[in-house]
Amino acid sequence: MTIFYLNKVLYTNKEGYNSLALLFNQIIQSDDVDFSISFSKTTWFEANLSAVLGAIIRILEDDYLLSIKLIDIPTAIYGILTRNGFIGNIDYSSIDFSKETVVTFQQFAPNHDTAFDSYLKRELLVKKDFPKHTSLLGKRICTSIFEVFENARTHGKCQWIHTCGQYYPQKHPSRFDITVVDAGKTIHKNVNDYFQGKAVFSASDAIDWAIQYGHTTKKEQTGGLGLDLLKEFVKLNKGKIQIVSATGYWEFTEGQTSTSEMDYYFPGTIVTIEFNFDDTSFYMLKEELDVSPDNIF
Amino acid sequence: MKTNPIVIKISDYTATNLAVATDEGEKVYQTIVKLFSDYQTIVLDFSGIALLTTAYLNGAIGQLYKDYSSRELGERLKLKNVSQDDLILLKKVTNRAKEFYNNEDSFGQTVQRVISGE
Repeated sequence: MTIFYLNKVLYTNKEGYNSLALLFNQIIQSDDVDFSISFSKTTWFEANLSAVLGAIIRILEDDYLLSIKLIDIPTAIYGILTRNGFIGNIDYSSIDFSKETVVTFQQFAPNHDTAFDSYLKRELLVKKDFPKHTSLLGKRICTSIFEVFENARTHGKCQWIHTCGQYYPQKHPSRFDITVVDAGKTIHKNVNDYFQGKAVFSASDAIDWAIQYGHTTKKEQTGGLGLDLLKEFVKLNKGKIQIVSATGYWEFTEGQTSTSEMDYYFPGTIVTIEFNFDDTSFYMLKEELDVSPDNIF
Repeated sequence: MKTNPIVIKISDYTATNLAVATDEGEKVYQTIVKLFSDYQTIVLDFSGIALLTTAYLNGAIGQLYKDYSSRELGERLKLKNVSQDDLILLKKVTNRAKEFYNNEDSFGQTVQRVISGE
């Protein structure tokens, strides 16, 4: 049995994703078949990263037929990972999600879209601060999450979609982070396949291309609106979007986009959205001024 | 003789009160196409729907522009019980569909734009 150690701290940022991608690469390059992932050096593990670690473990077990154990989990982290259902069995009927800060770790098959609906209703929409100020904010947050889930379902062509969220009511502004991971076809592969070798994108440029208005790799079908709308909304909401796919890293925060390449390959796509729950903005897009049911078509 | 429009209640085609999945939208698209081929006019009733995504609307409505013009759709397809903020999503979807299907070789042109660095 080979033991790999998680980093001391894992935050929801490029370094955090990189260290989890490194772990994946170290394990698949090893000749062993039994592995333990040790938390003994880890003092901080952001709960929504459970979606990333969960996806990695699932790929290693299902695709590489490896055995993975989690060991040496410190009490504080153990508490978080049991509360969000990442380890152990959670009794959903005993949890009052309106008071709970977690949105549990879940794995959905791509055809389980109604289960994802129920999950958000049960665990996010009931939070007592959701939405804190306006119902429109709540609606836009949910729409954004569904657009990301739908993208994972239709583009990743994966077996499982892994999700986990965490609400931070004590932070100012209070924020909610949700991570959605699909261990399927990466954006890098999808975009380069779409261009059939006529143009070749780096992994980070492929993400940047895919996020633009109207860009979709679906042939003969419209699309490419969901992520553009998400970006527009997150800018107004003063939130954040991070996307990792293959070796690409893309981040949008404070209205600015940054792209870079990661040190290690991630075998799928990670999307984390950070929403600002304290937002008091009144959302009025310019189209709203002159749109009516009679001028839609 | 003028016939009454057929009402398609969106919530009858969704498993929950959320219209979010492309494939559920696709079912509505198929129904619209079938009714259009029978020369019907249609009212899409969104009552009871709490959330809509562009992914759903692309599946249900966006692809109608493959075979129908903006004028035809305006005459034969009416909307009912859509909130103002969802109308914006609908408008974005129909605007994009018009751009997309007006362009007969969109893939070739997209490739060309990327190669030439536009």
